[in-house]
Amino acid sequence: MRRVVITGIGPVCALGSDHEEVFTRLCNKEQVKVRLDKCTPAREKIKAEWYVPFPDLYSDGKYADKLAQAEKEAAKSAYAAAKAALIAMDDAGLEKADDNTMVIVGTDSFSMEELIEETVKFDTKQKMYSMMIPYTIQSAIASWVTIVLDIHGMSSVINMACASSTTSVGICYENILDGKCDMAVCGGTSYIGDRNMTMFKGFEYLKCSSTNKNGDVFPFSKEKNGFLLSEGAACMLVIEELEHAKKRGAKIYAEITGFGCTSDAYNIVSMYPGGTIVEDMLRKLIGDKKVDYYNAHGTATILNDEVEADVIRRIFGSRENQPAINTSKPFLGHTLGASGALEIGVCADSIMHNRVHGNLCGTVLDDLNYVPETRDMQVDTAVSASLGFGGHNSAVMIERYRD
Amino acid sequence: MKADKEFIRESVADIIGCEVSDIKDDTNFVKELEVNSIQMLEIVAAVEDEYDIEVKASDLSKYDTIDKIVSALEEM
Repeated sequence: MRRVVITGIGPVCALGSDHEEVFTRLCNKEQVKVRLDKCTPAREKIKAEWYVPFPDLYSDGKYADKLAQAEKEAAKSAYAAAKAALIAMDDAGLEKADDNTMVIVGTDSFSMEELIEETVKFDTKQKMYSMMIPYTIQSAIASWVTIVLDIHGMSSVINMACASSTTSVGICYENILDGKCDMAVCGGTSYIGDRNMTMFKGFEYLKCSSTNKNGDVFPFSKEKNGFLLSEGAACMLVIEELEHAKKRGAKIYAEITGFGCTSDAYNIVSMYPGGTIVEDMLRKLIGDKKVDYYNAHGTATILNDEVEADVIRRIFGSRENQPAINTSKPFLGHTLGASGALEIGVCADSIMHNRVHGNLCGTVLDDLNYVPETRDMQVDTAVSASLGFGGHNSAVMIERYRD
Repeated sequence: MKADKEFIRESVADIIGCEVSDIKDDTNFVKELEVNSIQMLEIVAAVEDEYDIEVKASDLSKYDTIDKIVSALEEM
């Protein structure tokens, strides 16, 4: 039977572009955030004070040759995905991927900033960037990854809100299992900035984002009132069929052993009452396995955390029987379409280091094995769950690789 | 804060798609007009925009009648 392993992890986020560095900083509970610029034209309409900034991907000169064309012609979300893919390839020790390597990139909104700029220019001056179509279409994100890696397998963008990149990894995992290819470069990307931070206000209307004056967030706590927004980030992974990885002497971080994906079919914002659709998905994914670590969706919203906590209690039982639970969003911000892949990377590093990073919290909800401080513990099996708007649910199971 | 009751009533009617006359001061939007969770968010957003306030997610139920909205605004 074919098996699928993670051999490359390429994050680009506010905590760094090296997954070991990102994991160390998560374990140190570092939160990189900036104040919303007071010169933002619509500043007074936005109640949030803080957000996690998009990392500077343009000035370090890394992969300058390979990214030269993308730097000029790609939207920020596409550029971030392409750079993350190159980092993941480096991390996997790969000069060149198999020609039929599959590429799937999850993302959330359109390339908003670029699309708005061109629309306004055309409206006010009847001028636009002549390449606005390839500049702004979402499929260009996957195209740029294939161009910079020079590979010719199937490539696509998945758009499933916050579940996008967990699903992209899951679909690639299943395709490798099925023998369609031996390698995939998969993950997600997000860039939601524009000069007014329009999407930030959009999330405020939905009562999802934190307006705390100091930028703190309180996942799975009584004080929860929303997430810290991220301007953007990306994370791409290299995953491979086990024999393929062994043959080339690759370092194996962890094995992917399951993927679940469901739709609530209920409401465009709210979760299915009680979270029963998510519960069914997770029960099927987990089976009778003992899960040591659960990287939650954990948005710190009223909509999500109470329901997700109930699902955890129903599946695993009381606190002492639950896996260690955390969420990476208080430190990375909610990176939307990139969040799932970043969190799968965190799970792989948790297994590698036998460590679960700590969390921000207030008064933690009752009977929940939440991890306020970084904990050294045996982590052999982890589950990363993503529960997106519109009822898009997905989860991936990751285990310690054993020959 | 002074609240414009008729402006609020018109905004709510516009969001729900009903006649202004269907919304009495004490008509409960959720129980009597079958307003769903998305429409409640829209109603609160309209009030937030007009009065430049922030309503917490945990306080949405305090905005489910015209009377309650007016009281909440007047207490600010």
